[in-house]
Amino acid sequence: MNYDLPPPPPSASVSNIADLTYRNYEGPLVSRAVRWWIVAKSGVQGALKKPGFWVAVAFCLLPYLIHGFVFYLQQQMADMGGPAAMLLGPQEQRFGRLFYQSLCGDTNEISMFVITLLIGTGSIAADNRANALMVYLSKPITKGDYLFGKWAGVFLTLFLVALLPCLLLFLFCLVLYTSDGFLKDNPTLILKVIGSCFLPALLHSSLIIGISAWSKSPRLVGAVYAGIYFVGGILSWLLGASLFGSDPKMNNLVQHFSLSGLMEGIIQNILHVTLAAGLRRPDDPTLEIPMVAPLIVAAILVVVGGIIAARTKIKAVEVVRG
Amino acid sequence: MAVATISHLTVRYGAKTAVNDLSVEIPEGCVGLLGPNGAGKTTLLKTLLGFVSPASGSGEVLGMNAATEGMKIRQRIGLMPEIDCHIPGMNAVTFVAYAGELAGMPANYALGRAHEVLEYCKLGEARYRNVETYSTGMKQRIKLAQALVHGPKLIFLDEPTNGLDPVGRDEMLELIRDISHGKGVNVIVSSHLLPDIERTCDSVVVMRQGQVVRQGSVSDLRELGGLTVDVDLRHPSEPFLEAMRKRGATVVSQIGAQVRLALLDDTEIGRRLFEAARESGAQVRGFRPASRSLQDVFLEAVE
Repeated sequence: MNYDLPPPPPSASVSNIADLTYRNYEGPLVSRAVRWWIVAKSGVQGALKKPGFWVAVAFCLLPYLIHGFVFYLQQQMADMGGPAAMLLGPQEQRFGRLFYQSLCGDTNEISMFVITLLIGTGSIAADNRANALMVYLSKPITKGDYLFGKWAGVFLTLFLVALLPCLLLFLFCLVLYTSDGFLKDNPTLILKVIGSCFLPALLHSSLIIGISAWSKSPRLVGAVYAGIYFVGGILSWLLGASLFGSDPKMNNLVQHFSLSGLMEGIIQNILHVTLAAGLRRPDDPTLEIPMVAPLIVAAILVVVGGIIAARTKIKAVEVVRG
Repeated sequence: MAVATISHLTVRYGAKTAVNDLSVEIPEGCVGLLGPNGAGKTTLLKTLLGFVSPASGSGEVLGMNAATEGMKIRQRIGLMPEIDCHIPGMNAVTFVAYAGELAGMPANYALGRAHEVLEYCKLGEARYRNVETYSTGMKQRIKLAQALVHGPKLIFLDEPTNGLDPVGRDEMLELIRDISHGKGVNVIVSSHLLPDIERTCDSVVVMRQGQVVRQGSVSDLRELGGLTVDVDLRHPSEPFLEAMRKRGATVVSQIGAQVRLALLDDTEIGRRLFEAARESGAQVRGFRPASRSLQDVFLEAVE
């Protein structure tokens, strides 16, 4: 009897896949409604692969650690009857102020800005440069799916980066200060904290997507975004001081009409905290909570403007009209 | 059955009319879309994909309305664009799997299929390399792979051999021919390279200035009207031509020892040829019905 094996097919000698002929795909398809998620997931995965992202995330964690530790020390000293109770502020604002300082401190704001640059500048600009829209839009997804997916990829990453340390800080307070009335005095604090994390992610992601769609160069997008972020802050401060120097309330409001100012002002309203005095007098009006309605209108304009700007520019083909 | 039916389609870019009242039925199989630059080939493909809105007229692809059922159409078609395109920062297998997921394939199916398709497109060895590092030929293949990954029933190939060296071009044409014959996949190839179309396509649509000027199967278009035969002689022979003229033939052309003769009737062509050869002392090595090259057809159509 002949036990010789039959010769392998020719293709098997050069490839692990034995059958190299073309076969049609007749397998399952996922619902079209969730196709934006494919784009968003790819955006989040792309962010997680960048080493710079993790460095920025580490910087985001720092303020929570520092403020949590300082808060712990102040609380211990206050319990011993020391003057630290003054630094902690009014009892009803104590925990809100802890979260405000962590979320809106310079370190956290700059870290969020850097993460936005890292993950947002190239989100559409790099696709424009590589003509990737031709690939995306020749598949059964709409411009809306693409745009929402790109936006969600940036938004979810920023939201999670802001939210996770907040939740850890919340857990820290829950463990140590429940007996001091943490939950009783602030029953809705967790919702306010989630809202406060939502806002920066929403503003950053919408604006960066809007700018990114208009360029083929992620670096240029980064430069424009940095300009809006920093120059906008300086301009609003100058405007407030020059136009409303004699009206502290209006001055306080106008100084919040920048990207970081909008975040700070609305979060201050959400958490309902006045600022700690620091070098300023405790009755300084700029420490008060700014009017929320104009800030919300400005924030909506930033979000809607960014998304409309992106949607206008996203096209499968560049049509030259002559 | 036609894979695409277009009736009275007009597409304008501002004041410029790219496609002008075009009506055509594109049959199954491998169809070549021919035309000089600016003839409207790419615009036609983009309109069928729903990328460009027509000013008037309508188009159907695989029985679906191009204007209202773009999503359904794109589920069943694949596009290999003319320009370089990829998703930045991805290696080949991730890119093709991602393209599959965008087309609705579950992630695990898309990944498996990406490996298969890359092997089929002869990119198996380079599948883990970043697409941005690929050569021009490899970029053409990866564009084909992403168009094939979700198993489309119709593929649009826009200038598929652009920038390829002769070997790469041969391989690409072989792939196109393989996909479009016996695999249940219809292919529309847009190109201005006539030999490519001649090698791969069963039928052609010739466009000029946004309109169809010639359409039919390659063999029909190449056929010459009337009774025309190409005769191969061993040596050029004037006496043979004279003998054929006496037998009612007209010499259409002569290139070296190859002569094209137009005959008045088809009675006993072989006997007449051999009689003329015996009379003139020429040696006939063969004869066949004359046909034109696709280039002749194209030039005649667009001139």
